[in-house]
Amino acid sequence: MPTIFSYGLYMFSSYAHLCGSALWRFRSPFIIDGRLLNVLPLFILLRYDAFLVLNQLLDLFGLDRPAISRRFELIYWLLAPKTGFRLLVRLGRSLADSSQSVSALYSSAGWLERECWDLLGIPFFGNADLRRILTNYGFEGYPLRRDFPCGGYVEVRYDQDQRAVVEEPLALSQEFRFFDFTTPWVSLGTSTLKP
Amino acid sequence: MDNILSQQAELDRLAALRSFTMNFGPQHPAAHGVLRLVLHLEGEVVSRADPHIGLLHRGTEKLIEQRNFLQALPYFDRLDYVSTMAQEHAYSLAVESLLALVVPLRAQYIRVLYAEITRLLNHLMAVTTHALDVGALTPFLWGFEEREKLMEFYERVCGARLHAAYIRPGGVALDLPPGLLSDIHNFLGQFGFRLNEIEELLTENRIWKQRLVDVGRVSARSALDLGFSGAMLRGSGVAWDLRKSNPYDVYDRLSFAIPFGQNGDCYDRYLIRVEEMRQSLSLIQQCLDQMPPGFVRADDRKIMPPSRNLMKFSMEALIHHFKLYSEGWTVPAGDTYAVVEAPKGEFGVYLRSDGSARPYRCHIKAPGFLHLQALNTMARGHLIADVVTIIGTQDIVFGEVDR
Repeated sequence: MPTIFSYGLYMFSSYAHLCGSALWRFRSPFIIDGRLLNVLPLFILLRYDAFLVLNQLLDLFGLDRPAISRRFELIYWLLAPKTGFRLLVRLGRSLADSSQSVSALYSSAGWLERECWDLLGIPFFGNADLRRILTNYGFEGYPLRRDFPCGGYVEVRYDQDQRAVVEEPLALSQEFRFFDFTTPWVSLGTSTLKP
Repeated sequence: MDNILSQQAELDRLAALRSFTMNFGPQHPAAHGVLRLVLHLEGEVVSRADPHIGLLHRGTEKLIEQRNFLQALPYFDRLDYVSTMAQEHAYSLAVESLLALVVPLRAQYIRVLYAEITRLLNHLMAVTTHALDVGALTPFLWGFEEREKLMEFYERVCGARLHAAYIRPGGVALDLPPGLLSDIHNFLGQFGFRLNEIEELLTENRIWKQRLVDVGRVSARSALDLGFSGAMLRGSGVAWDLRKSNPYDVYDRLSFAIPFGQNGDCYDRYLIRVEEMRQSLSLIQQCLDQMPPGFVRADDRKIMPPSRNLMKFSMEALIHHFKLYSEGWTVPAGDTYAVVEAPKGEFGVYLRSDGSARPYRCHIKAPGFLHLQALNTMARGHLIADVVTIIGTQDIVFGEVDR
């Protein structure tokens, strides 16, 4: 029975060159990092590889790093239930880059890509149903981007006179309070575990 | 002639009516929360089901980015509010893997003990409300009496019936109060009989079987493709359980079996949930038997708060307490993805830290999100009444689907 490490080794030797670098730390998943623009060839290989059989896409999400030119990072979380091997694929994306949908390979990608589009504004080409999913009907903006304020821009209430739900600009009676307790001193706040 | 014409007009009108669209929810008792389901119907047969979710979206992931690592923990209780501790468990494992914290053995046993109590809580809710949706009220009443007892165990250990905030990064919040373990033991002794009673009402019940058998069939292949996990995946015949394949905490020291189905229909998934409850009983008993003495928090004063008693004497402890509850602790830069076998399936937490005291990004993977996505596939070709059965068998809770 091959161990998880042998799957990792196989994966790194076969596929890492396709997308960039690969890394593995103790107690963390196997990760491949890439700057690939067209992900479909990589995912076709990963899904139909007879040894890896990564046939479940369990998660797909993004994160926003506005300071970097490739500001978005797309993260795919794959699983091979046959062997228990897991893989995290991280791909950098700039605002202008296009993303290929993997919904033709994994049916689970449909809603995950919709969520990514809804919250971060990353479009996926090839996804047949790219409506917003978690936010309100008619919502504007992408809430998980770092430049989107935590309180949002609009508030919604029921108007008794109009007998309808109305949207108004946000008016908070108290400003959103963000306490930054970070000390300039490193003696105490820093864990001993930090190098 | 007039008569024939009016008959023809009536037939045309009916033909136009045959195919129509119906809103199921957002406030429907069988929708298990706020689900707006747009059903395209051909007569009584569903041709397409389009779930509109997000009515309970609270932006948990965005909120967590504004909080420090400890303040983020209670948000996990509010996701799937019937299996709260399983989610705290996932978050704690994620933080611990970033910090490389070692959790004491006693704390690990307490976590597994409560994770299994949580599984009982969730499955009692899942099975009995499913029965309620299909038309059997009695199991619901009986099951909720047992849930009340289990929530008392929650309350005794952390003071809250639902939103526990008990499992924390580095261990658990407090040690077990005296007498709790023997009371849990007494509970186990009678719970098996309650389970038998519920099964007597349902398992061989003709109506229950008519409503569940062969409804919402999913093949193993498509269950994998659709990203199923937990009982939904096992129902289709894939014996996949994270507690076995990727054991966290002390699951590798305990013996238990993984039930899995053959047909992939709602009835198989019901049987699996009942059997999982029995396995949980055995797991809880093993935890009680093996519960070691010792500490319940990791031994790291830069992360775990000092005891109240120590703060009265030690200046260092007082300073640490102040720092830990204002700034919080910093977590080394890096990312991790922790998964647990939550009662509903694989619950995952992705954490990215930039080296500060707040998570840079926290992504929550809810099993129900992918299950609900498959509602269209599962409900197509079934009758409207079966949609209720299928939502029930998916064990949907909108706190986690909408986040």
